[in-house]
Amino acid sequence: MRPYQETYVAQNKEIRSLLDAASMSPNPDTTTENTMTSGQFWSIRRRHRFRAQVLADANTELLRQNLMPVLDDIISAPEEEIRELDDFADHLLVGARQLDLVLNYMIRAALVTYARKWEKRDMLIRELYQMGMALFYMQSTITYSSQVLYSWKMSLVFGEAASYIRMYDAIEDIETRGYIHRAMGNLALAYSWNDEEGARRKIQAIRRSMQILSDPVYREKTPSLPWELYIEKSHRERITAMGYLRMMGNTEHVQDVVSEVLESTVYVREKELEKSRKRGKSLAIRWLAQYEIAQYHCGIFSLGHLLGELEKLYVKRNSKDITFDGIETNLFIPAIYSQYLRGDEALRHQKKQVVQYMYHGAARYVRSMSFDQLDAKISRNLTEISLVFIEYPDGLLLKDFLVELVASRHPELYVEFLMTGKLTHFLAERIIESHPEFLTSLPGCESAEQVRKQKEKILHFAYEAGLLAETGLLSVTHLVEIPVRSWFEEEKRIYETHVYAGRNILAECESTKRYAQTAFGYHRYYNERGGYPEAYSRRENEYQAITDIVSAASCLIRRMKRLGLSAKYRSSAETEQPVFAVDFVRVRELFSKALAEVCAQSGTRFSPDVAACLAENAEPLVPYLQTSLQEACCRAYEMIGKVLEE
Amino acid sequence: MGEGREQWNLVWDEADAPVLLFVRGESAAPVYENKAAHALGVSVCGSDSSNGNGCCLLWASMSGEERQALAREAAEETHSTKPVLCLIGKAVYSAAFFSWRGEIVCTLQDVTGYYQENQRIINEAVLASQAKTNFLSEMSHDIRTPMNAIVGMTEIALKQQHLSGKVRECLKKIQIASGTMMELLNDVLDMSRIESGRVLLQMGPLEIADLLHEVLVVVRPLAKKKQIHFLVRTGVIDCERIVGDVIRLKQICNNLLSNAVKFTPEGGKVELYVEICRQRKAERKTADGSSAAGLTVLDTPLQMTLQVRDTGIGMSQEFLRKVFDPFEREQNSTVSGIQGTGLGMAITKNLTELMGGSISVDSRQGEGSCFTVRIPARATEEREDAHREAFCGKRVLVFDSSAQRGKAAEELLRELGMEADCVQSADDVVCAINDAMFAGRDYFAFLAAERDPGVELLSFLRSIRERMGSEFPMLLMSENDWSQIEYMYTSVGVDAFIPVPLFRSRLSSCLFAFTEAGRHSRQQEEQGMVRDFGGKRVLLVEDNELNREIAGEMLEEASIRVEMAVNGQEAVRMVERSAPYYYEMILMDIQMPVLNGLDAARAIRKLPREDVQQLPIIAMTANAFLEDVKNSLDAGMNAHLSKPLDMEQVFSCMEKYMRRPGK
Repeated sequence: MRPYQETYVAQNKEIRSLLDAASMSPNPDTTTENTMTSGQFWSIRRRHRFRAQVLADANTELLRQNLMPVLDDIISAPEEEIRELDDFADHLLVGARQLDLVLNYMIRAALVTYARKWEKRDMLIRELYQMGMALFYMQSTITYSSQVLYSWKMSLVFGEAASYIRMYDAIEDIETRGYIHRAMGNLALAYSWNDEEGARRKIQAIRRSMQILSDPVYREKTPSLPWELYIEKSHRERITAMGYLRMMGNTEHVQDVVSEVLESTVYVREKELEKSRKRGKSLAIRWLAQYEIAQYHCGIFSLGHLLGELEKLYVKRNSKDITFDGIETNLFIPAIYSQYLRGDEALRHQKKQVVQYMYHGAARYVRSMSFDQLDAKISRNLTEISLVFIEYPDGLLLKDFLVELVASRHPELYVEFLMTGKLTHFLAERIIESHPEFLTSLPGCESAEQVRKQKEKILHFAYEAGLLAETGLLSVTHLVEIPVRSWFEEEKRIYETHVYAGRNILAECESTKRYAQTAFGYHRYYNERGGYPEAYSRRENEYQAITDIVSAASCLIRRMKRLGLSAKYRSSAETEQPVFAVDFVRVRELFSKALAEVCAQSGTRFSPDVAACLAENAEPLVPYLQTSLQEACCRAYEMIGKVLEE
Repeated sequence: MGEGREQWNLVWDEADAPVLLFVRGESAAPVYENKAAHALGVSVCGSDSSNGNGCCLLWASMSGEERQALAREAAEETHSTKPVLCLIGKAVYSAAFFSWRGEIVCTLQDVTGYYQENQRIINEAVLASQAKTNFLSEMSHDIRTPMNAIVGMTEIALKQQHLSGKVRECLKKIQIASGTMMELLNDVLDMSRIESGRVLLQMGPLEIADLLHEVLVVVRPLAKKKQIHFLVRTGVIDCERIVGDVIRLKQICNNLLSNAVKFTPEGGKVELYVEICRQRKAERKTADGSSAAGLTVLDTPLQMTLQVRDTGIGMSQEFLRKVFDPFEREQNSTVSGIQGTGLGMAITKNLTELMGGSISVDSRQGEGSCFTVRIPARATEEREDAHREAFCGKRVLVFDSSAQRGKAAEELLRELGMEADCVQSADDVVCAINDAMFAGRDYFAFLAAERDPGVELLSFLRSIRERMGSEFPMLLMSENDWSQIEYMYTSVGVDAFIPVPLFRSRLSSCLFAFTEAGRHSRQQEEQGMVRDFGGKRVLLVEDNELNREIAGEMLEEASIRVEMAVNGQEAVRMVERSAPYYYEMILMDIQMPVLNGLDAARAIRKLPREDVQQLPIIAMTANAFLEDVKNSLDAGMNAHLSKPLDMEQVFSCMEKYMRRPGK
């Protein structure tokens, strides 16, 4: 790597380390998170965040000065530069470990252009494969949004790399031949199990790949390739059809898939068993669960039986185990259990206590971890439970699970949720007092009089709508929580999918479905000529008036947060006051700036009524925000480690 | 009745005004006339009044139905909408009818003075209208001359290299705007020519695809600007190449569509439906009623149907009666702000009828209108069969998010002898490409629709180009004007553009260009198209300095040696003084001072030299009407070019008429 590349990688790692929960202990020998006060916690947090921001800015500059000129003229880059770029890209994405996924993708795309231009066939095949992998991980990051942004491109590049199988004999390099087989196998990654056509193509791609992998002709031509590993990977990919089988149920459409999935499950189970034996351990619960699921889909036993088997596996869990297997048992089993149960009304009632037990168990498991033990995997598993959450009238509600357990794992985000909720509540209250007509579009509020009568209900609704509006951000925490440099357009696209994820999560449960439209539309402009998503329609949201308030409130809070991270305020990083990214003493200044920005977009991005309300109440809002911020920070600190009340 | 009649006689016998009495439903002759009527010579004698005069003649000449209607009006004391005038001797009388005890009374009033005054006013109006028509015709040359300069200079400017994008865009817009201005001018002129019955159709082969595209390029932006949902539907198209007057057909389409857009509010809908079908046997009866059996496909009569439906403001039933009258506009507040001459529909109707067709309209106020034009047409030779061999076995991938549109494209491709797969999403495209590649059956070409692709199309097409390489034909099917989007799409690797709606002939010629045979034939064409006018000398006769400069520059660009004369007399003198065969051709303006082009041509042909009889003289005039062409030919000219000059036409004319080397 070139020096700037090494610096970039090092700084990137440092940023992650600073913002990683594990870094929270200021002195591991003397202080632990248990003895730390809220003030100390936020002080360290802020210092780390400021430092991370300095490094992120430096990273941006490094790329601007050194990398961008090369990428802009990649065709004329000398070969040595190309090799170093390749090496740099390798460091940015190591397997599934992502140091900078989007940058990796950009470099791979440039290298593909280079290889194509200079007709470097082997390099082209390799880079196409690598580019396809980057696209696969990018698509994976937006799974919860159900948006498909990168599939066709993934399919195109893997397909192109795989198409060189027609020139197999002419390609002498063994590694390149390996990339051809891997690309062919990975074509299946481009298709989704979420729809029938995608599933059909995925199965077809896996079949084609396995057929070639099993063909003795190719094995003879390149005996040194790890054929068994390739086949195992294909089997593993075929097991992911479980999700599809869950979605489709035991219908005729999936019968031909089921037997293949069972075959793959048995294959992988045997392999895992073998590995476990070698390690002197028992087979991981994940594989046991997969096996039971496959048998259920093959019609060997009923759904009730499957749930019983999953319960047995869950009972075997170790609630102190924070290894991969521990997470799988404590969080993965409740997620798939919920998913299977959702489709069966009778069983839902029967299994109420089991479900509640599993959810509380998941909460206890997460709470039992110290803050530094929390990682992205935990967050992902929690979000997956949220997506398939089952509510019972007197049971645990999704909104509580989301806010108090999932969001509270991300303290800054949690504070943002609370602040948006509080500001929305404040504005709604002022609007009811001074301009109740604004809210007469709400259901059951046809007149100003009715609005006043329903005041408490409206305020409660407004608070929760604000609180849950940014739920979708839980799907892109890797972007919003750990900024390693300025964003590229691609990151913006990924970020914007969070409104879909928010809607998807909230729409499913009774306690949250009223807020789904707000979470979907709070970034769309008031005049519908800007913002996102374009698919959002104001007319279809009966709570649009509240969404208008949330839209302005969340933007104002985000702007304050972002302004607070700017270089101007970093000098106060040593202040020992408890802060949430912004400095308390500067709330007034930050608020004024953010308010001016909101008011400048009155009538275009924001409702003029809401913008006017903000401006009219600027004076009382400053102390209100200061107090709310302090409370939210304390609350966020308290929530870390607190077990969700049963 | 008897007692009544006596009373009647007492009242009316001495009246000054002539009075007659008819028995309802009975004889056409009056049963009573008073003294004044008698003195006037209106007789009650005889029921046959065919030789008579005056009112009884009037009553007798009416049909039974007319008499009944008149009697009804008289009985109900409603006023007849039509005045009833009759000529008695040299005087003009107005007849008034009313009912009396079940009988019809007619009183006559002498209106000779009023009638003569009216006639005088009408005659004056007719004269004024004729004067207006003459004035407009005369003005045509003067109005078109400056347009020539605008169009020509724009064309020259557009040919310059290194133009900035912005300048090129502005010039293209000037080109379009000046074209529109010419059309507006033509509207007024057309009406004057129609009024004087001087419009002649210029029939020729035309491609319906080209016709529609040219119409849609104009109309779509208008609709888009008003956020009107504009839809084009095609029905059965039995023949895509027909014989017709392309300019007049375009005019009909443009009039109907621009009107629909004009009178449809924002967010509304305008739909154009086109159909060209062979007339069924039952409809194919000759004038004498005999069957038209034995006709070939080309002879089979076609009917072209153009239907324009909108969700606009519609028309009142009263206005519908006069919608096709010249200068008629609906008088209500809704249309008061909408500009127009009120000539469009009148021109459309006249042109349609001139083509032997018909136009009808159905409209409801506040709901919209639907105009239907039906025009008989004749087929010309279909050409695409020539491409079948080149297409045989070729596979085309069609990407259109609309399954219906995709299916239509697929069907057309199959008709052309190709195989086609139609897919609806970007994922499907890539999957099809991969599958084809694995199966070893690569696609010959890729057709992508621009509309609602569900993917960022530019980025997608760029990726497809990268994947498939530079030789792979990638074509865009679009409703937009290619010149507006060309840069954007060619920059991502799109090779060509096919306008939507798709037509077999267009699709065929476009795809053929990418086959081996097509590439070969294009190469040959390009070689043949290199024009070599080097050394040829042309005499350009033009009084307008600017026009002279423009034409001179264009000709010199094609390596032609140009000599110029500023009027006909100078031209005659230059030819007279030149050596034999010195000029290869004369381009002659018509309206010039001193000696006009027609007389100059006659004078040149009369020169006592052999070479001037063969010297090609080509007329150039803004008066591009058929009678002008005829006048030019009568004056001894070889051909006629319409101004503003289209250089392609100039060059092909030169190729046709210039003497070959050695002659």
